[in-house]
Amino acid sequence: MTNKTLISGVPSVVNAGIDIFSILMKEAGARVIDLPWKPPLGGDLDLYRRLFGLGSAGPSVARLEIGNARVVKAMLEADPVAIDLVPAASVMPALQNRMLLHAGPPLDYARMTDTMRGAAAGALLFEGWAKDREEAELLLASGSIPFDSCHHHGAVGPMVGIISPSMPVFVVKDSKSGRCAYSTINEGIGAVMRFGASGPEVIERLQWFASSFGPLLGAALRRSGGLPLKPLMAKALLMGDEMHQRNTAASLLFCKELMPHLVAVGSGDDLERAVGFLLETEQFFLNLAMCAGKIMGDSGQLVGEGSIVTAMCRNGVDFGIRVSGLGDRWWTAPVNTPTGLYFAGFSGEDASPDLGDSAILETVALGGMALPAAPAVLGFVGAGTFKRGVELFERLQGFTVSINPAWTIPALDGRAVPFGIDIRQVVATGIEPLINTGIAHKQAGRGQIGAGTVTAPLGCFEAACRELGVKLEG
Amino acid sequence: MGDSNLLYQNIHTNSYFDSVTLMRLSVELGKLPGVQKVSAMMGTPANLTMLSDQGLYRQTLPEVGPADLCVCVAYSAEENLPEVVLAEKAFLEAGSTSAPSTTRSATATAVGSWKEGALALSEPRVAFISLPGPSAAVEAKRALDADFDVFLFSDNIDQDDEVILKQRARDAGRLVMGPDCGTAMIGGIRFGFANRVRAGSVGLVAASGTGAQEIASALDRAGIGISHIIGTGGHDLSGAVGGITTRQAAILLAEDQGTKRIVVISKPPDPDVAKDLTVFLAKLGKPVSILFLGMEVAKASGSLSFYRTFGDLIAHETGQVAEIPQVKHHSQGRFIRALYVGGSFAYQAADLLKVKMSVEGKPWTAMGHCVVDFGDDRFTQGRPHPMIDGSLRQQVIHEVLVDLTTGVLVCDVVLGDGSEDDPAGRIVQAVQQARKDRQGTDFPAVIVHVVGTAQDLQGYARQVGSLRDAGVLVADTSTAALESALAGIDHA
Repeated sequence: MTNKTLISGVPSVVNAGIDIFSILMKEAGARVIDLPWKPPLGGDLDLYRRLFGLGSAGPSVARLEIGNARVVKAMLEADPVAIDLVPAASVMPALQNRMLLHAGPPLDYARMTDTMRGAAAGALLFEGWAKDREEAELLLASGSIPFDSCHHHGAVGPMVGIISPSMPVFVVKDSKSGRCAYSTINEGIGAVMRFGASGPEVIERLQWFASSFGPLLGAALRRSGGLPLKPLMAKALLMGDEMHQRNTAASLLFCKELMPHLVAVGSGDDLERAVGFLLETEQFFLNLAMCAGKIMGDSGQLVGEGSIVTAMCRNGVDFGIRVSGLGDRWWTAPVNTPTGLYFAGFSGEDASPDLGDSAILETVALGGMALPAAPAVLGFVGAGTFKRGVELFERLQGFTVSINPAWTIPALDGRAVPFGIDIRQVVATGIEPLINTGIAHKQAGRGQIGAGTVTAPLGCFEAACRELGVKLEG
Repeated sequence: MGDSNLLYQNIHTNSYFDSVTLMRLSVELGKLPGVQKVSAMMGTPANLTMLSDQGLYRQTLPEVGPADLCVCVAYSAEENLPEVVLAEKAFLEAGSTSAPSTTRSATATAVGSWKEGALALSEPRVAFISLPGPSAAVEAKRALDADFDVFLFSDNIDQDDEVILKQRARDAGRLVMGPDCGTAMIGGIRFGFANRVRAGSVGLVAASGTGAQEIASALDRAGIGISHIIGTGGHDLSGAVGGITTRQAAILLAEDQGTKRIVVISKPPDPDVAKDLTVFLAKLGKPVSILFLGMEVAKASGSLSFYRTFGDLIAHETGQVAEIPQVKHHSQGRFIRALYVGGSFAYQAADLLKVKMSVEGKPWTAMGHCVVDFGDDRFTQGRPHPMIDGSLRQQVIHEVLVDLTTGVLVCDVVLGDGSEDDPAGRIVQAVQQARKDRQGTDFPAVIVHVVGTAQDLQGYARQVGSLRDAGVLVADTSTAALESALAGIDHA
């Protein structure tokens, strides 16, 4: 095969290394872009070479790259459909015993931040396992309530992500494989459990979810025959959502789809309160988007090969990633703390370290990975201009391997979102995936204090790459 | 319905595309041969009715729903179908990511990755890599993966890496120039050390940077222009690499309308590689001049002609034989000391002087002719390349010129982009200082050849003038300088 393009015109240049010649080239009028470079992986050249197939690793890396294509294909072919809403314990068997699920990689109560502990205490009150805050905290501190990651039970939870047995959860089913993913109902803004609150209004709302709203939504979903989520998300992207910080259009589209069924199965005060809540909760769709992301990520994880990130999540202490070819292990590093814009009276000093399973959205090319889709939230990102958003969007493509043709960004002339994060390219470029996120107060019960961005720590990807390097050696 | 049209119907479940995109898809498919009617719509009941009424849709099981995309095409003959299927797939998967980002391409000055660079720049685009060797190899591979051609200036890259890179490049239809590639000129853009030569129709495929510089400059001075200089790195014609880049480059030049003649230069290749290459070059359909430095010359045949020295090749291409400067005054010394910054000139000198190229120590102090390549690793550890900073060689030149055993000093003076401001000045200063230090004893002959053009910033005529003013003999080619030195010693 011959190269037909090298001498077909005047070449442009990307320069990596010394600048003597690039300076001369620029002076001569050539188009030259600099690629600043420093040794990745702490200077472990041997590993770096192995990851990209030099030395004897050539054949393993060739297989790896074929594996990556298979993983991406599986993720893109997943077809999440919201089919029902049921009590958590009825679909997650472990919750038939007294236990709680939390966001992020596994950690026990002793290590949890104040925000997550506050929510856990609230969950005990909701379940009736404790009669007041004090008793709840004693019970939790005693270690008699087991915890596990939502991800280990097919679930995803935003922010602290606490799920308890009686909470109603969405059931999102992959029509291709039959696998399901679960998430709670989004509580809205203000005093909400996901930001660590546990006061009476939080408990009351959760009780209303369990006794009225959840069953009503479930009946409506069943009547509808299921709502395919990917096409809805495609439409929402065209309408200015990125599905992490902004789900306004997606939530409205969801309402639109569900409304005929809701009014058919509901009536009276129950229906009125349900519709009112749906229409005022702009982030309602977030939890469903997260389920769609988990379905897609798990489809990739099940292929069992390659170097593609299939999940990213945080618990306020650790940031964890999963990688398609490295089994179910979490590769962790300390979380970063988000920065951004704060509500009146709050500042960065009040911010909780990074929380939530919602980074599953960035895992599947949404949220911080699709900034130009949502000009309205660009104000939270750096300089806040669209131009800056596009720069970041293109910077982040340094580590993606493919695209999702079903999800396009109209402001970029229909460009598809870049898809499939390759851990090797994250460490090679040193660019950390960017996550759009809400910012919680570091103290329980204080709620949300702002919104902004945070990055996934390089350490997770480096740790995973070291393991990958060992596998490639064989 | 009774239509005799053939119907292609493809349902994409749960795949939403907006109406503008779907209309564009219809237009694209409608252009294909044999296509009579196209409709691409989401499967709402109203749309399905419309499609059925037009004879474009037949009910399927499982039933089509509003979240499903229906692509329906009526076409005339079976042979039209494959192209329709391919075009549909390509359109839906394209996502328009191949076009450069119009918001950034004009303004981006730095990027964080090769992929981002590929977004900012349309083709042709080249990765210019001068990082430390073993890392450079990884970056070259990643650049190839990101759809770049590669100019691999870095040296210290082992042969195994070179083979992997070039095989990967060949499979992707890309070119790796290097490793250790010092010179290229593509589409008028100079890469690395390069002289400002006029545009023309001679294309060079060069395993040697300074060799390419000498030839291109000499041709320019004779009024002959260059289309492209494609570097291949010094080991491309080894048995292990097998000439991958050389072949690709030769094909490019053979297919290039602007190139009428091709010149291939290298150190002697692996014999099997040389044989295959020769057969290959003979079929290109354009005249090819081949310089395998120091190798026994094969007979010219068909479109191929062979040369052993730079001088011979240049004489053939320009139709002018370079004058051999006559040494009129030289010292009692018996030895030729040839000190070069260009490795190929050293190689040629070793061949013509019948000495081994020195690999260690200070050979200019030994009794006998010597050839030194100051670009060799042992002189460049922790120092800039001698073309960038000629101070080390200047010191040695002085040492050689005050040495009573030196009969003739031979040097190269390489001008052009990347070279220092006054390469001739180094020789001139060393000569003037040595004359003072020798206090009137006879003085060795100093013979140089200058690689450069009038357009180079250093100015060919100015540099030659300053050398001659200092009593230095200036030959037109590297070969003529050596022949002059040999003649000078013989007549002692």
